Amino acid sequence: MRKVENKAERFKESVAEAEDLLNSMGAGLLKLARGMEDKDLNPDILNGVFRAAHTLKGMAGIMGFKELARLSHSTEDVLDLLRLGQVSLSAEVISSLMGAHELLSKMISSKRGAGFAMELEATVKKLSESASVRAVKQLQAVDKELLSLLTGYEAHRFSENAVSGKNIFILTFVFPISDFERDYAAVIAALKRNSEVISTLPSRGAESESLYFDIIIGTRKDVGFVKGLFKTGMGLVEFRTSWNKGAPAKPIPAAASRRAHAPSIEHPLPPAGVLEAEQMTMRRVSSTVRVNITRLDAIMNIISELGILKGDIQALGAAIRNDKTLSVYGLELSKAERTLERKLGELRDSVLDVRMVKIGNLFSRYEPFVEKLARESGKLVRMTAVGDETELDKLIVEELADPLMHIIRNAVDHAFEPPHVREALGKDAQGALTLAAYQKGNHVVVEVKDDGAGIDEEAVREKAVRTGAFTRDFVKRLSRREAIELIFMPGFSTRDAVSETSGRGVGMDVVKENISRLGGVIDIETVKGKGTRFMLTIPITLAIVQALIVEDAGVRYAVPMNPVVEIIELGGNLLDEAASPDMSAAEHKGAPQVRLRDFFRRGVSVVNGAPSAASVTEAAYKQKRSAPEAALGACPSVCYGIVAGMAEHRICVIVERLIEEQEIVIKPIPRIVKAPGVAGATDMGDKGTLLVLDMAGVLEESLRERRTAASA
Amino acid sequence: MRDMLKAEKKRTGVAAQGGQGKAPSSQRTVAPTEADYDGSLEYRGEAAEKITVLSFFAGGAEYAFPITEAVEAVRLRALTEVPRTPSFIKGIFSHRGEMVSVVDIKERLGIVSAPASQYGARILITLVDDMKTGFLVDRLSGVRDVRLADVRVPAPNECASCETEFVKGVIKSGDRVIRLLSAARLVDLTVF
Repeated sequence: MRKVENKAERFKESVAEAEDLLNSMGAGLLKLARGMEDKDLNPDILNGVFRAAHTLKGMAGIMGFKELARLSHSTEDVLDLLRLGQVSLSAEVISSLMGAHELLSKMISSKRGAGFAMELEATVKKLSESASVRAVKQLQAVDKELLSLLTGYEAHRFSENAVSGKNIFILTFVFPISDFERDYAAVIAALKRNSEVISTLPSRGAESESLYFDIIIGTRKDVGFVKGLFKTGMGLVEFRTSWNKGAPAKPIPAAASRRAHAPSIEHPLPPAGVLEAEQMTMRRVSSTVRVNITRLDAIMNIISELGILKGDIQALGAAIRNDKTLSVYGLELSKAERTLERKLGELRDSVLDVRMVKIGNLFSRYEPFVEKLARESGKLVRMTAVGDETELDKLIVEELADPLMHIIRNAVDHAFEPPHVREALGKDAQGALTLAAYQKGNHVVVEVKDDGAGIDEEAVREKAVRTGAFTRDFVKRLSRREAIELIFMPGFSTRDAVSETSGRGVGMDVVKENISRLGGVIDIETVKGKGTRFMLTIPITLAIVQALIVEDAGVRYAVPMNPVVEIIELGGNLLDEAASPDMSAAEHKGAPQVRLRDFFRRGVSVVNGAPSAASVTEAAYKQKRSAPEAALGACPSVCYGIVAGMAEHRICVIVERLIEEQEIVIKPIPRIVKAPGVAGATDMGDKGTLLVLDMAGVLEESLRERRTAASA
Repeated sequence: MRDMLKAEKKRTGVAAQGGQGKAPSSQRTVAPTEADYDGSLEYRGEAAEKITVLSFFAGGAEYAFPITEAVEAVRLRALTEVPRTPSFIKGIFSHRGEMVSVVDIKERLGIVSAPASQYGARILITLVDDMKTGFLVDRLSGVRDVRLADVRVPAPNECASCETEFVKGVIKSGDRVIRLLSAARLVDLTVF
């Protein structure tokens, strides 16, 4: 059993690693595509993509995914030809590579080793076709002898540099043996800022205390740059110009002698490219540990149990303090207990800290996606990301991925006008899509902003009537904001045509649901003709929250304090009105009121989040709270209204008693007991297990009931 | 280091011919996929003809889960009710840091009987698709190996009509009859 778990664990890690690789591959390909437009092929990026494909191939083998291995192998082949300049970078090659990347991502996310045969064949075919057009070698008559010392790849880079009109210099450096590695790395780093390092060759003049190297660089700078290097004290002793832009330089006389001194087979140092590749694969990002989030959850569980234990100690301390003979020890115990509390807090904070990831990782995943969508729909869209550094809980970031994708897809598909329309409207032909994130108190706001057509409020109203879900009267009465929020209704789409990417009318309701599940809220700002801004307000972490323990009809619940705005005391007379199903008493405060036990006593209207087929299931469900004792208004003289705010919405939940405030760990509840208004449960030790209220869910459900009542 | 260089050159050569044939095959033996891994460890040789089950009593009849689905059995404890859920779900409790829902197996199977004594009753926890579910049973019976030959598909009219949905097989062991249940179907709310 253990072995199976280990295996599964390793498998998951491999998948995670493969996802990272694909991410960097995607980003690299995109940069190459951009560079292609500017006729500038950056060899470092190409090498990065090549390495990613190569590593992926190896991992596919380990995972036993034959199809993945085959595709990454073909991809690697094409990239290698590109690298060696045997194929030149064309739109066709890029598109076939991007196609391959897409299929690779699909394979990884399906976690299956097979079942893509058709797509695989097509993609592999496209790859090999795109790579069949070989580039013509443009430069032959350089220094044959020098070229013979270089590897195929280096020789290619040499001629590339020469053809693209750069200067090629051979710099001879001397390094003391003792500090060789450090100095060498420093020199390479410095050179790379202004030039491309084509090759490093051992040079003549080896002394016992120092090593001589010839470093061949290609650069747009002229001789002055190289001369400047003498002053830096990096050990440059000599340089020659091997290729001068303008005219071919004379063959380098030094080459012959060099050869005598340095037989090319005995490289004491690998060429730069190889060295770098080795560092990439062997060392990786040195101090990072990849941790499965479930392990962090386990630590979190232990911490919360320690918190419960601490409570016991506290109680014991209080008891001992009250005993005259032991009160001294009682004081000591309390002191120790307070230290324990502080340390526990620190421990918890550091674990929470470990769970945090930068949202930039997520943002960058959308860039190729936007590019592709825009291409397919014939639009010009440029995505920019702001606030990459903003940190969020890893789980939340993953939960955000799909909702954000839906919103972005909708924006590209529906919001942006085609380029010629945009120009006619006096806008830039290229649409601007901005993803932004910033912290706001205990929440992070994630914005998706477009400068497209905006949401047409009237079209939304019209459509709502046509779906048959609402009467014209009802729709007319809605405020502008309420009208626009109709787009979150299941099955809503203002587009009649169904496009390939979106417009099937699924999406926004799912987005809303996912965001509410995270305890987040969506706001929309839209100006017709100017654009739309979606703002998702999401809690930074779900792991630990401050909660209010309340009691109603003899049952205790935990209410997360995050969305709570205020707590009001209600007299008996107010309550009678409040307990009626409509919102009345506090309507002037803008908050619909709901009595908690009424909310939970109402029959089962929802199973697993979807309206149930009433006929089948009704019999099997029952109302759990006994009805008679809970007659409306039967309540002590004082009740409490907990007013929670989610963006512009308010809801007031009425309970009988407030017990205490406490930090809790919200645990998910099994899916078969998912109920509206319940976010999860929390273990209170001796005090048992309490349900944690989902205020957003209560609000949602109350609004839905109100809408149903209104449209009926 | 030389080897690496050579390898690179060699691979380059292959690539230049546009070939992509054999590379994956050499790595094939490293590991099976996740899917066939489970299978390759369990049910091997003689074990293939046997399954191990955990059996228990509910309402006078004997039932069982495959041992692979059963995690552990715990004594009864206070449950927290969850509103607006089916009546056969009795609530949830916290077990080793996880929330576990509890299903009354008699109610789920539609068995009507007098409540069993609290003394022997247990919550039998199963694990299906990453979800732990506890089943309220009258009394545990035991763990036993059953030859596959002794398990047969239930006849349509063999059990009460509501039960057949949940019975995977009927085990005949001496003169006792044990019904092998599917935990996955018991926790599927669309099955009635």
